[in-house]
Amino acid sequence: MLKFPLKSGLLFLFVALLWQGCGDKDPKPADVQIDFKTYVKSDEAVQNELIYHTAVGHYYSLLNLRYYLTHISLVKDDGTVVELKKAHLRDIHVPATKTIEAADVAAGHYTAMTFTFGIKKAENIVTFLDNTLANQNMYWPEQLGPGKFHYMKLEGQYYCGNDTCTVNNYAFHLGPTFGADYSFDVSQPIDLTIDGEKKFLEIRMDIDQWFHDPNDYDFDGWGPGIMNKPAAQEIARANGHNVFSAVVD
Amino acid sequence: MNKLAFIFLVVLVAWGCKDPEPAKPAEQEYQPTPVTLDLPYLFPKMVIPADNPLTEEGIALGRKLFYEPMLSGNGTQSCADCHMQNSSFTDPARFSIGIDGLSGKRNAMPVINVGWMDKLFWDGRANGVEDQATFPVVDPLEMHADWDQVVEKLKAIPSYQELFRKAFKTSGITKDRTVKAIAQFERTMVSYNSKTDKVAVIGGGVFYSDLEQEGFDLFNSERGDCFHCHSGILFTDNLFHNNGLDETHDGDKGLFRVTNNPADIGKFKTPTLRNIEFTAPYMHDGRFATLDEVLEFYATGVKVSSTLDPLMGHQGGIDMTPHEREAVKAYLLTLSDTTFLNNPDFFDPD
Ligand code: HEC
Ligand code: HEC
Repeated sequence: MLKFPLKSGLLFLFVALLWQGCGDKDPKPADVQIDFKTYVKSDEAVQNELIYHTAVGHYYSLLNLRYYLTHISLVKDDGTVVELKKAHLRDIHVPATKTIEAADVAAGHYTAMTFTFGIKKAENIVTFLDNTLANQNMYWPEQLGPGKFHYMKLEGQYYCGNDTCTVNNYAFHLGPTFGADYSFDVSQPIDLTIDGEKKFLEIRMDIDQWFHDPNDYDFDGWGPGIMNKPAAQEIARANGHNVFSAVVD
Repeated sequence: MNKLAFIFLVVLVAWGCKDPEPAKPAEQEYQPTPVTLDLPYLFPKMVIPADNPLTEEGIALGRKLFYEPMLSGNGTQSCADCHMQNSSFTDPARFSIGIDGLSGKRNAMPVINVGWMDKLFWDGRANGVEDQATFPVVDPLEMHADWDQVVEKLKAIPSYQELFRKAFKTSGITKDRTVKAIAQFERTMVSYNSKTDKVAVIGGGVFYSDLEQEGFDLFNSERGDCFHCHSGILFTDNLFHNNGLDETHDGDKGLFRVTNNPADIGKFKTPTLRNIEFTAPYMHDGRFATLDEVLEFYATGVKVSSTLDPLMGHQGGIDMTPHEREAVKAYLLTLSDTTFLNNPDFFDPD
């Protein structure tokens, strides 16, 4: 073995120490993980139980839920927007879609999380998303207007709560009905400082909020499918204002 | 001087860290030729497992194995006996008959576009194409063999040793490599040459007739609602639904047999509608002999049960008029792809 020259060794140590010391002064970027959670009112939603009720008096269940959030971003106190993911398809039956992770998010103090529910009209074209089977399963047929993808498919059962009726199905499918843009922007205040340490956030969808405030949604009145009903899409869009919330864990 | 020594040292250390020279390939090793599937752009990306890339040699071996009766217990039945090319690789019989003369309670499924499937069989019990190919060989109702014996039989044939060596760089024949080769062949069995594919090419000059267009419109409407399950360019979402064939599910419980989740009782995999003209009889139990019967069912025969799919909101059926049924049928027939049925790449190689 060669002998390590003492002087050079000391120099190396010194530089290494200096390097290490420098790093501590500037805040460091960090990974950010976001969990997508589904709630009904104050509790996480359970699947396939006719236990939830709407303002008009129906009991309903949650069977399937898939939706897109696009341009999921964090906003710094100086207004800088940092996009974490261009488009995310959450499917409650696919565990891998429950979480996204953004690597090396810039250090700083963030005061809001923003995203679009659904896909904006200009972006709702076939090339916006990867050509995967999961995305193809969200196709919106051209007969129901230009716009390539549903925003959301929420499905389940409902009934009136007593023996006078039978259990029915509902399919609350939102999207670009006849070419209109029913997507909407969400901005949620947060208090998040990124400095080297991984951070965890949650985006919560409260299903209950789709069905009231300001408009009470009536499964019977709107029928099993609403992709061809602009007035129903309008109601959903208006009710959507407080469906989502962002939480820093 | 000292500085120089330091640099010299660093270089030496870095050199020492370098990976040792990669081992030279063995003299006899054969490099299989990689294959990329050339698919129309509308088709979704096919996810191919990293440990089973497509190669010319692998596909050729898989094709031979697909037609190989030695995979069955008594050497009389191959995959192709129940998956016949002129029936879009399914069986025109309602229930296929295995080597012991027994039959099950399910209609064979077409082997078409299976490369996109991660759950196979009517109940999804196989995870991926490789896994699927392990089942029929040992199924007592089908080929009723024993994998160890099948592997021994293949090993005894020098030409197979050579084919495995070319496909997998080793003449070692195993169950794992056998199903990998079959899976490679199956991934090439893509149908993309129907009239609908031609209409989809903008500026291609091929159009639907008025009746086909009417059927297309109904298929893709909230009322017809076929598109939600028979979706996208593959005409299946590759998911599981109860489309309302039965009120009770005392017999075949479908997906429930795999998941044990009561919410899955009566759910079956959505079949592709590509080449539907050639895949009769229809449904998991082959109960309908014709497309007219299928459309009659969707029009008037949808049965309510607790797991009826929410997308089958129209209980009793969607009340299609006879003319509308004709229109939907005309549209379904635009999914016929005779080039797939006659593609020499899928013929029995012997
Ligand atoms: C005796 C008839 C028979 C033989 C032989 C047979 N199959 Fe099948 N195949 C069937 C039946 C029946 C099903 C549906 C069974 C079920 O869902 O339980 C099926 C299903 C399949 C599927 C599932 C397709 C889908 O969409 O999920 C594939 C792939 C397949 N077979 C490939 C093969 C291969 C490869 C072989 C040879 C190793 C083979 N089969 C041998 C009858 C047969
Ligand atoms: C809720 C999802 C869903 C909807 C909506 C739907 N299907 Fe199906 N379809 C299925 C499933 C699942 C099967 C297989 C069911 C079984 O065998 O148990 C099937 C089977 C079929 C078959 C037989 C395929 C074969 O190879 O056996 C045809 C044809 C068909 N559907 C056409 C249609 C048409 C036309 C419409 C619209 C009127 C439609 N489907 C609507 C899910 C659906």
